[in-house]
Amino acid sequence: MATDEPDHLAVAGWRFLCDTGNIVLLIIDRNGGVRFANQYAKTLTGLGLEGDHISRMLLVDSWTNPTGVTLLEQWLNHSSPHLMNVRTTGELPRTLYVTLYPVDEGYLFFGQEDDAEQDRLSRELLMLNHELTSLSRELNQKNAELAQLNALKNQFLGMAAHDLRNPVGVILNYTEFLTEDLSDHLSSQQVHFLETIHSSALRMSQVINNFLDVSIIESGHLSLTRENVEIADLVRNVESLLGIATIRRQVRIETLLDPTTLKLKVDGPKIEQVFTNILSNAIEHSPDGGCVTIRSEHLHDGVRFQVEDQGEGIPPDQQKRLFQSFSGTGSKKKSGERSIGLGLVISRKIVEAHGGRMFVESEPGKGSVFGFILPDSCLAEYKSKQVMGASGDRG
Amino acid sequence: MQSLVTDPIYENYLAALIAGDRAVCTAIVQELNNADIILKDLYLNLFQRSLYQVGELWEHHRISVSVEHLATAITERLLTTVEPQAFRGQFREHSVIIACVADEYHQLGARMVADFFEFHGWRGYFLGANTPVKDLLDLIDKRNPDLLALSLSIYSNLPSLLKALDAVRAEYPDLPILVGGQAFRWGGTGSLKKYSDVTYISSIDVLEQKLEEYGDR
Repeated sequence: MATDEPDHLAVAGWRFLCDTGNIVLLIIDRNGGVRFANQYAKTLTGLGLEGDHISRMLLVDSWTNPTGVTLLEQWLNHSSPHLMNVRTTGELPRTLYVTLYPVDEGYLFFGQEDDAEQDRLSRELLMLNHELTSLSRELNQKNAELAQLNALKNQFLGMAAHDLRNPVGVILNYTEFLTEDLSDHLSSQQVHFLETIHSSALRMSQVINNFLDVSIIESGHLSLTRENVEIADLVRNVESLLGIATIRRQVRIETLLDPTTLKLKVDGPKIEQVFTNILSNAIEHSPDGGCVTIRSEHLHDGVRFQVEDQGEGIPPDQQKRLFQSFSGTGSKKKSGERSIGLGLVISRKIVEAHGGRMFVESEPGKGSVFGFILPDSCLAEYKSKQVMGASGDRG
Repeated sequence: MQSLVTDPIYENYLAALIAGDRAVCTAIVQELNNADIILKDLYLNLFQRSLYQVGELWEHHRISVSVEHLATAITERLLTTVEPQAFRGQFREHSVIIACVADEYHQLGARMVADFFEFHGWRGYFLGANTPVKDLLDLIDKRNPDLLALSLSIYSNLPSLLKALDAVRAEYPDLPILVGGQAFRWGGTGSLKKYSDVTYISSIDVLEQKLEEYGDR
């Protein structure tokens, strides 16, 4: 009995290693051919292994080193620890620490993972995670501070613009008064001075209004008052407003409006602002004597309005930036004035508040098309009101 | 221009990286930062060089998977200390989406490329490791980038890359795509030829040349 016990234990131990133990057990021949693989080896690698070469367990083609020595030869010629990085069914590779025992016509291969090393990696990664969490918290704090500073900037912009509007208004009124009432008593040079003061103050007033709009939009206070709007009337108003610029630039305006796009439920003054902006841009960038076309079209899911000019066009790399605040795309008009480029930003915000989007299509040398698409709902809401109104009339 | 990463500095850093000594690695990078090292020098001559060496040691079973993971994690942490230099540029004229394809978990190279784009005045949207094709398409739709850059580290993931290219090309036939990564050491560039406007980028220098075509600042 006592002499039988070691054999019995050996059999039990062997069976444990073959069927249950978390250790890779292989019997390989002298060339690395796998003759036997235990269950853990097969489960870990997702391979049958028996009949394969041991190199199939490797993730990359690394059976030989750069000098052509095989991994098996390296293990046999150097003292342990021997490492073997293997592919696994769980995507991430793992490292086996290998021990070889010579047996008849080959080797008994034991491969085990180093728990202490895994623990260290876990600890380090945990620490790094803590650091990144702290960094993330700092970042959130900084973002909050930046948001507050941005709000303060908007507040300042709004207050400054508001306070500047009145004095500029006074300058405009008095220069108009002087030009109209005293021009008979002034020399032509003095009249020219007054006109220059007036046009400069007018430009300053537009800039101040843009600053006010930006400060309102950026602070999230842009609100719409939707009402039924006749787009043909609105466009006529804009054309009339820009009449002087049209005459000065000798630009012809052609209006081609699709009759099915003319009744919308939108914020009329704000949409008028958008039209004014893109039409005045088109006039300013047109060649003398050029033609600007205002066009509308009913799309399958919306209404498209656009203004086409025959100007110099815009390079593709600048087009994306046109609708961004203070992006440095302010352009020089034909008249020589510089624009700070806020008009399109404001227009974009107004159109987006209606659920629509702005667009630009342009090619240098071939002019530009600026426009916006409003969702079909702007049209549909108006139509439904009309139907209800008509029904009420009949009643 | 001569690199600030001298051989002794590099050897010290590599030894600390393999030993998992984050404090020493951080001190070395901090010192180089204090000496106003430029991003390209730091990324190529310290981070990229050391990680390539770690990769080689791992491939030849000289270091374990854990050591390689730790070295990657340390490097990724160090990137956060130098990234402010990348984001210091002017207004971003162009934008690029940078992603690792599905099943690709090695994101460090792609992140360094993203930083490199930022350094050159691009707005980089970095999607990181293992990006599903749908997420990639959604972001392209949302951001409308000038370029898409896809990274592949493991050669066996080539089918995932080709799947992503098929999907992107079907939806966005004109979007220029750059492809790069360590996987291409084993081949695979031939399979990119069937796609229009897909360019293999073999190194940061080649990437720089490509960026110049877009009017680099």
